[in-house]
Amino acid sequence: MAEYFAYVEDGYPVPSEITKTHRASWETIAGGTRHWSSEQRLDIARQARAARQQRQELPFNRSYPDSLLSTTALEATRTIAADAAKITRAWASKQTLELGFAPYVELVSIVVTLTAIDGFAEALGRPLESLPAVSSEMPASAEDEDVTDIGAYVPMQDPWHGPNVSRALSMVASANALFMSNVAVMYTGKDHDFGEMIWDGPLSRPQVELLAARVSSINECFY
Amino acid sequence: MLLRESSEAIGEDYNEASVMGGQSHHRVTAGDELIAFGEALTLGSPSLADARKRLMARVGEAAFVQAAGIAAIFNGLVRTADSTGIPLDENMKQATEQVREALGINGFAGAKNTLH
Repeated sequence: MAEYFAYVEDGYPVPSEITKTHRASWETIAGGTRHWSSEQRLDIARQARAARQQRQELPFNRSYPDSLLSTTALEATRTIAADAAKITRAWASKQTLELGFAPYVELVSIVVTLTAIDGFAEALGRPLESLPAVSSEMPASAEDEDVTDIGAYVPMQDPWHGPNVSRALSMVASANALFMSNVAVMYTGKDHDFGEMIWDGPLSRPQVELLAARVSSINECFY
Repeated sequence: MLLRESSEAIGEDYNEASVMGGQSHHRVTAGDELIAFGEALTLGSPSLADARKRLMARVGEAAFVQAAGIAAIFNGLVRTADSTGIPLDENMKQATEQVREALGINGFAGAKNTLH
């Protein structure tokens, strides 16, 4: 995946930890699992990108590329990418009933990772990275058997050591790792554990949290 | 809520309402530019190019790249929380009771899964 995310070569002073993690994310997204084939995972990413790019449009005014995915998978992908604030328990229950918990968690991890990586490109003013090619690799995607109902829409590990939000995708370790590896490098600027909250970037902590809080409030995110 | 905890940790008192309303936040260096940048990116606004330029001029290239990472990853984090319905842990729920009420956060769709 070295041909992807040539930030420094393109003139963007992006820390090597971020470049490395984005390349690894592309590799993981392209790998098939027992729930989603490589083609399907890349289709989820493609549909999420299309939805995100049209997030200012009303849902009925958006158009999408052809897809191999089921109607339910498309609905989940596009809603999470562009209309997440509208998600309710009833909506999520319908998706998880039809898709299954683990496939839904994997789908979420692809959409949110794509959102973060595409968002980074937009923030920098850089063209979106081409999606990777279909892969024959098959990363592990075992579900954790110790997950339980903590009142969320999907089962999660409990107890959990670390920031509460970092267990949201803990039902499928590889799905959680895909997204949380990006949180670690993009939040702290280095490859630190998110839970450690080590701060050595050029922005002060109040600056970071002002920005983060404003992004969350515009997204109407209660959490 | 993160801002509240952080400001308490460093012994300063920031106005959370300014974050919710998008008003200027004068006590944080480059607060106006950071807020404009976060808004433009999140909304997919045509003003992003200008917000990007103003933020970079104010904080420099390295800090701008960090801001890009923060704004981008939080657009992923909020979707993770919304799509999984992860409830606030009990400590955070109690600690933020007043501020959630004051800022109207309890009215967000995702609040129902923690509060009801």
